Amino acid sequence: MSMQDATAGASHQEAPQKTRGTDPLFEVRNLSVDYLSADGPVRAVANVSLAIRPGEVVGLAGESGSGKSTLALSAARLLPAWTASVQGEVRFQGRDLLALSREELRAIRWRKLAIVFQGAMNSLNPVTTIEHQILDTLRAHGEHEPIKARARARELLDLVEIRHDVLKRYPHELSGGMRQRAVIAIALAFHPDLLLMDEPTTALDVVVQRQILTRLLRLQEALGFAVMFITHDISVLLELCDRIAVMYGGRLVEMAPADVILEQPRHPYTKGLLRSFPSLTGPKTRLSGVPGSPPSLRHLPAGCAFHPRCPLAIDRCRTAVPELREIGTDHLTACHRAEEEQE
Amino acid sequence: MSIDVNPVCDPASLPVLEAEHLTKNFVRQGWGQKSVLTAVDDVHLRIARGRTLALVGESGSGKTTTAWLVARLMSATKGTIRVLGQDAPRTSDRPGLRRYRQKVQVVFQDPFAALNPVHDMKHHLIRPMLSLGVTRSAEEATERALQLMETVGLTPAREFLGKMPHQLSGGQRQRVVIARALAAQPQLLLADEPTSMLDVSMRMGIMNLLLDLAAERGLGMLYITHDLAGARYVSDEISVMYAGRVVEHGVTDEVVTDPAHPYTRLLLSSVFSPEHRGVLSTVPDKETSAEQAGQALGGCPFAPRCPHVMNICRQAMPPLQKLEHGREVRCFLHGGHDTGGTTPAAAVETSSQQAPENS
Repeated sequence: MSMQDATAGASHQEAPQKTRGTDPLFEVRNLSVDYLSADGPVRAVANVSLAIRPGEVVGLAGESGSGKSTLALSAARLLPAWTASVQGEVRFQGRDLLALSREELRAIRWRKLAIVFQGAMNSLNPVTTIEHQILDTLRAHGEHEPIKARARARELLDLVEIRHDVLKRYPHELSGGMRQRAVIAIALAFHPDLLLMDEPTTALDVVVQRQILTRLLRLQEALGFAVMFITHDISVLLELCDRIAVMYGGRLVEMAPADVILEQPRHPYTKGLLRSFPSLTGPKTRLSGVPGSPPSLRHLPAGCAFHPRCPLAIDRCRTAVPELREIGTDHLTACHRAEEEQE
Repeated sequence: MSIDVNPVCDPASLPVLEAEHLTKNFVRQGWGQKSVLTAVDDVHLRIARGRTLALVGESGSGKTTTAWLVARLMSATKGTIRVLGQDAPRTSDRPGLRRYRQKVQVVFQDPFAALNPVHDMKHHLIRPMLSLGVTRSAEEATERALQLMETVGLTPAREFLGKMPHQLSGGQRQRVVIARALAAQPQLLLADEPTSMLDVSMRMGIMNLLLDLAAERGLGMLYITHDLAGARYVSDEISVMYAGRVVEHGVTDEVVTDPAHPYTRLLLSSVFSPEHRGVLSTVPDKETSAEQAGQALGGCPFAPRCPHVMNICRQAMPPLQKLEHGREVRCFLHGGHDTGGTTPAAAVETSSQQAPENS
């Protein structure tokens, strides 16, 4: 099926327009998340602010425990109040998601803001067919006409290039890649304006990963939704994203357009991440990675959380937390020594 | 089929590992039916001292099964395995296995599962030394354990010896797993995706450690991975596996810069890299799962996905063709057959050589 058919089938609303204006579609302001545990609260996200413009693809890079998944879950208000306390503001299309009632939130979630979870291939219900699960989602969020819903289910499969006979199958009959496509189809059911994707292809083989992400980006270009793409694999983000935000120890340490992150990274951790992925085509040089281990959120180092692993650490880094500040056009970093000439 | 003497190995020394016709069938039985799954099919491996062979493939391609066969954790259906010229023992030969484990050690994928949670690091390192007879006394073993901890970069070593697995990060645990493998003073190290469970910032540390150990100690290493860029970083040679067979083998840099098999090309073009930015390259691939590919009976298992598929590919299994510089490819495009002009350079090159087919 060609791209044109796919998009024509998909856009039963108004024609998509790709406006990358300055008005953010989604904005997180001073967001902090504490997980409540028996040993007291554990701060997983500390004072993070970031904005996504309409139609923009933003990558969020970080290791496990950096707070990247927590940021997405809390922003979509998916963390139950008894497990975590969330402070700050999450604005989506001008409204504060954290202040909405359950009903108001329901009208936005999935219709406007959809999520593909980590290990999404396993988020399908094993005892019902794919069709049932797509129809379920459509019904739950307001599509009550069965004929329309069935037609829409087929359109959605076309979007992600799955054959229609898959509708009658159960998840275990499909490969991981097919299940992941089905999950993406469900996420796109209502033309969301923003798609949050948490490690969407981590468990898949490289060929399948490439196919799914290429397809997704084509859809993104055609339908104009914005994407927040969370992964530990910065090489995927460098290829696919407009902007990249890097998290470490619950804080945002650097944010810039993807080519700036690649060519002029200013935070030592970003530089370390870039030194952690060997190249397939470039010269074969020894890469150092990042020495040491990522911190535990329970025992974050004082000052800049990265200082024990940082080659540039000075006394100030051990005591004062560096603020995220602008050091270039659209380029933010949180490092005391960002302006100095390095290396 | 005869094994070609590898041009990069010193002919005077025996290869650390030489495996021929390695095959593993899994028999599935149920409801009166019986089906056979060939997970590893006629695989040849050869690793010289101090060199690293990367075994690359997708999940289900048989790379881990191959490592288990070589480690004698599983018995092979067919084939021979020789380590330093000596035949590997049967999996039932316990004294033989004990001697074998002094020469061959494994670094497992998951460092969280590979260490016993109720024992400290000292126990993990000393136990193999004593049980394999590497050292005679506990004092000597402790002394060596301290050295090993230093070798893998866990300092202060004495402090780390007393730690329990839960007190270490994933990267530190993997270093202990490597130290434990080294405790037996092996000649051959089997590393099964040693970095895939680790946080990205610690992967290079483990890769560098393995590289240095192989170079300093003259270890042969079988490095199993699905990450081509990582494979390029650590290995001298690469074998690419697909559906249980090695479809391409060669010197790493040559395979990566000039892949001969369509599957290798597909893998390489799938790798994410900033150099592909803005291209949104479509990988020419047909919607075929690995299971369907396995059902392509008789023919090349890659034929259902192959952009260059010819009639012969569906009828017969291509033999392993020998090209220049020890390169081997299991593809009819390189057998001197009419290729239909799909891959001119490589095909023309070999058709002039007329590589002989094996019986």
